Amino acid sequence: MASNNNTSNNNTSTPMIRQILICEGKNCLSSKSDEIHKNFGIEVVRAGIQEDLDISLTSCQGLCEHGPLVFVKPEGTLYCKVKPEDVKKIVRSHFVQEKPVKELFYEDPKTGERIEKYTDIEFFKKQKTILNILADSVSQKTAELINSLDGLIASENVCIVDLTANYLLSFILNESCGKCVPCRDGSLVALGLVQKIRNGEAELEDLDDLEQICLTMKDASLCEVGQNGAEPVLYALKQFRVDFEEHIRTLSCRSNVCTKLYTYTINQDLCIKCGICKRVCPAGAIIGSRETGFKINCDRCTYCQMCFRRCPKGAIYKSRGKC
Amino acid sequence: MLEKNEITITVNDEEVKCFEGETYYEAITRHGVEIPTLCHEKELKPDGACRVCVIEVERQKTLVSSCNTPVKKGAIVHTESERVKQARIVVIELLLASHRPDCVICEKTGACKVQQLATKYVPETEIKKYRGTRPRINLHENNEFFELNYSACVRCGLCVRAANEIQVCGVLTMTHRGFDTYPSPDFGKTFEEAGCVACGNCVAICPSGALVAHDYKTSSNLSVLDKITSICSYCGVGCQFDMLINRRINKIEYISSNRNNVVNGLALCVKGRYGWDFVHHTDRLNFPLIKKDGIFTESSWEETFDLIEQKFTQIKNESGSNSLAFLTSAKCTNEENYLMQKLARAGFGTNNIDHCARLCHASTVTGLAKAFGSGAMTNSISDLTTQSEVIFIIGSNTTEAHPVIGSKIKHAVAQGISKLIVADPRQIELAEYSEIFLQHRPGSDVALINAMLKVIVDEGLVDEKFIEEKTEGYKEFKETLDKISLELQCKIANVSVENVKEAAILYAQATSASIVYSMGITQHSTGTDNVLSLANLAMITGNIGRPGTGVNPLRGQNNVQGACDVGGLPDVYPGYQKVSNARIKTKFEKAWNVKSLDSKPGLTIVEMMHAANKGKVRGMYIMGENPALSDPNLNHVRESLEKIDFLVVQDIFMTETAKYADVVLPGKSFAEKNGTFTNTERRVQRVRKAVRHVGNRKDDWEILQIMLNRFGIDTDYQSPSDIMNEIAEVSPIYGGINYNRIKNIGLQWPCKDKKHPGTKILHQETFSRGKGKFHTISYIDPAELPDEEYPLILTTGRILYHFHTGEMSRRSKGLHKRRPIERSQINSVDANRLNIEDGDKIFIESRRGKIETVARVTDKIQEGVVFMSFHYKESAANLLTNDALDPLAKIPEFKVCAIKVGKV
Ligand code: SF4
Ligand code: SF4
Ligand code: SF4
Ligand code: SF4
Ligand code: SF4
Ligand code: SF4
Ligand code: FES
Repeated sequence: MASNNNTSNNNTSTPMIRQILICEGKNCLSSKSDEIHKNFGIEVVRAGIQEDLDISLTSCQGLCEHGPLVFVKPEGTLYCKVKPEDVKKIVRSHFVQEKPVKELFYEDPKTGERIEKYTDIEFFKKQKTILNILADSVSQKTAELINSLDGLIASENVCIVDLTANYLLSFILNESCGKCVPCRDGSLVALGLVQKIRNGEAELEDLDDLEQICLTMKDASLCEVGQNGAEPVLYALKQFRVDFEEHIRTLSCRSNVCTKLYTYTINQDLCIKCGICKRVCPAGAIIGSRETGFKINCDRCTYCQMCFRRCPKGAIYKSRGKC
Repeated sequence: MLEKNEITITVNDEEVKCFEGETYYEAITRHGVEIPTLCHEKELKPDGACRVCVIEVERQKTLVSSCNTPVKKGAIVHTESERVKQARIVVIELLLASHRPDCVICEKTGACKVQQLATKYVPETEIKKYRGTRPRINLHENNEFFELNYSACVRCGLCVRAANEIQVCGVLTMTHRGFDTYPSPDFGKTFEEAGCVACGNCVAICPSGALVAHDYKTSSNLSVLDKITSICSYCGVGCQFDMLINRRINKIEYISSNRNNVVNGLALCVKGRYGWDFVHHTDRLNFPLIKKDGIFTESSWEETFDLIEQKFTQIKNESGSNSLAFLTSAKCTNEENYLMQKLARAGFGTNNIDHCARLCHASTVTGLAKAFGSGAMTNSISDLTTQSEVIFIIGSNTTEAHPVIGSKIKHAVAQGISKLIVADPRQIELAEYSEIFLQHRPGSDVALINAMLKVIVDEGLVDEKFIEEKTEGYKEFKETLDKISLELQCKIANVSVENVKEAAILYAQATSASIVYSMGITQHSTGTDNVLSLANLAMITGNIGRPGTGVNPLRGQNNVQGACDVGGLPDVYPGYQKVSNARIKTKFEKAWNVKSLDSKPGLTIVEMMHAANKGKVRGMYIMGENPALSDPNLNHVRESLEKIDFLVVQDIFMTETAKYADVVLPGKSFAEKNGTFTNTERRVQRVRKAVRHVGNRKDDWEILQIMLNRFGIDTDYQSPSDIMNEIAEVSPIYGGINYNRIKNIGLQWPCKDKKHPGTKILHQETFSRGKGKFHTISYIDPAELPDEEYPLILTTGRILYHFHTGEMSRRSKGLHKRRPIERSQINSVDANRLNIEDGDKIFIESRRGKIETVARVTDKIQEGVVFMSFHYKESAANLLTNDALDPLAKIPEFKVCAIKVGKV
């Protein structure tokens, strides 16, 4: 068989390649996601299935307190708190015998129920709807949708900059095929610019660049995916330019969503020096002792919210501004 | 084809005429307006990936890419509007965003298209330097010839398209999607593992510093390099390329594709692109050498010529003109070959002149001359590979021996233009692309073709009208054909009757069907019969004289066609004019100003060697040939060379043959001289001097002119061009050819006069000999068949990475590294029986000699057959081969001999 025949056959007859995505957020990294990545590499070769699998690292997907996270696509399985020694089991059971490993599924904090698919988990469900609304707001352009978006933005815990970044990320991961430059490279550079804003490193000119790139994406992409894909960002820039500008000017995020633009801070007046926060902090970001009291070192903080949630006195709050 | 309707569009407020169906890019740039492009390449289907070429077409929602959008009537187009400029700038900046930022240290600096675009189209004030991330790619390709650095890749997809559309190697695809997309072979294999044959066509097309050849990496800045267009000196395809020369150090630095030729376009093969470094090899001969007491000593030209003059005169006086013999060279230019045969004929009065065409296509010349009246490829590469509905390939491993034609054929199949029928004893690469593959027994070609002819007659697929109008001898031919049995012929050929039927019907029913063959047909003791059978096949179906048809022998050496054309054969003067014809003889006596030429045809190569062995040929002059490795039954050849009283060898290296010489003359390689080569499609093309010679070498034509003068022929050629003018004068088929006319794309002979445009397809109105002649051919066994003592058949041939006796290719670093030793193919069943494993050292022995080699166990070769290449002197296949001759063409049977094999 000619090799090019082979490839064409492969394209049509073999099922889509499965993806193993390992979360490499700061938090997950501290839980040995590197080693997990390496073990996956070894185990799939041992199982002889390396050709059907694609193993890659992914940036933080949220839900850090359950990390390290391992996603399996396309089925959408999510494994939580994976340890390097669990890898062998996952490969053997999930990929060889097609039996997902139940004990590593997400455990719903309320019901205690094990949930296999990340799309069924509240946290991701919510993220997903917002993204959909943003995308749909453009393609369908119904007044209703735009209103609901405006409503959302106005609400306390949604930030348009963050939303735009998430939208672009999802576009890059799921939409762009990678053939043409404006869509492939444009979306990535655009994401970089939005992230700069989100991280408080941007300047006002970056907004013009962002707009220019998206205009080019819309005007010069090869297909409608890229052409339409830029619209939500352009829309956001038009409708909520002030919010973007505010991020850049004041280095703060009104809704305290953009993690780099607020810090967790301990209100020493409320603090009872119980030390729970220090114990639960996976990043070792909290220093101090019961005698001296506690302080959060924002340089090390991964914004996992563990301390914030577990403080018995609600003494930890988000304070605006860069770390 | 559709009628081309002229329509009008408006470009930047000017009216532009263009044709329906062409793209905006074609129309607008033809009009002289520049549009930048990155992923557009003339030879590839437009892809529209990079978006650098966007233009604004009024009333279109978005900008459109001009390279792949067809023009629309009345469209109003802007190529330099603000909208276009802005988008262009952003696109170019984006290209750079994911690209490594170190243009200063990049090898491609200056020649990188991305860099050029940025400099030209992004004004300094607009430079943004967007920060992108590069995809994480843990791959790196670094092979003998080139490397792929992903950090410089802009993922334009050109390499993938070149690999799939030009080379059709299927090695590269764009892996992953979205931002992670990048070009790569399947599943992280290396290029070679994925089937890469290192043609470098993907490398040539890469606009950035991602795919770069090693020779390119070490090359000087483009501004100090000169570009010289010349012709590849390896095989008969005759690819044109550009040599990049550094005059200061007098070196070729690399070879790049030349896009303005009609033979190969930008395609080259590994030998042409990377196999040129032999030119500067330290083994090159620099001084005339005279053997004194068995040791070669450097001497002056004067002394050397004196010695030659004295010795040759002495031999001529003692034993007559015919005791001298001359081997001219299929590697040398037409001009040099012409002088060599002139020297033999006019200078010495002998027709003992021959060259290695005897060993490759003598049977073609004889056979096709008998059937059609002209012994050359009837059609051209271009129509063969774009207009044949069916291509019947027999005895040609095209993708290895004529790589660029091979890929063009693969392209035709991949595009659905052509269907292939492949007949070969080995399962060659093209077999994978074939509709029908017939793996016949070596030497059974006549049986196979007769079987096909029989089917065509039985099924009533004969082209009666063509036969009636244009041919003769059909009746007798058919009478004999009626008597043979289809089953028996198929049995002889060891192929199934159904397959042969299917093949014959496919071939006969096609509106245009061509035959391609090479040494698998010719190198047999029945070579002429084989060729005549193919001629029968073409004529019986009327497949001759039209585009996409014909009988197409692929000539082996770069200038084997030319060496034949200009008279390097014992029976013809330049232009295939018979020496036995009195009128022609008188014409040449007059032209060359000599009293009397010999009217008897001279000796052929193998006959010369026999005569030398018997002491009848005492003096020999060999130019650029290596019979001590290339000829069959080497032990006998070497014995003969030993016996020759005075042997002159003119070559660029101390070849096996040169070692037997009394005098060795240092010639020049193709890169150091001017002249012409004639490729397999009869195209006379210009070879240009690129570097100055070093040492005390002389132009081969100058050496020959001095010899001519010393032997009483007064000539005063100032340059090769003068010689070509003389060739044109004396040989009608070259009549209209001169250096002025062949500057760029050459001319295909016959070209009768200065107005004649050259001939793409032979035998269009009538055959060269008037009527095409059918010959009655019956199957005859090869001269030597396997028996109990020598139970296997040996067949020989070429491999992609080396050429002929390896004097050039094995001195090329990359080629040598890729294929350092001979690997002889043996079927796994045979190997099993003989207890041989892949990689084992084995011996092969025939009645004539014994050699050692390394086994490659494979099922691509049929049981009972062993394949060897003849490139390696350590495992010289020709020590084994049989020098049995075809009675007419005198070509030896390289392709079949009986052997035994065992583990060392
Ligand atoms: S615009 Fe279309 S073609 Fe271009 S990268 Fe996006 S999805 Fe692919
Ligand atoms: S300080 Fe709090 S939010 Fe930051 S990493 Fe520690 S636990 Fe998480
Ligand atoms: S958990 Fe709350 S109360 Fe306890 S030490 Fe930390 S901040 Fe103070
Ligand atoms: S290697 Fe070169 S040709 Fe291939 S995609 Fe990258 S830049 Fe384009
Ligand atoms: S070098 Fe030639 S054979 Fe190898 S991948 Fe490139 S195009 Fe294909
Ligand atoms: S195909 Fe022949 S002529 Fe062309 S580059 Fe290769 S060896 Fe040279
Ligand atoms: S040149 Fe037209 S899209 Fe690349």
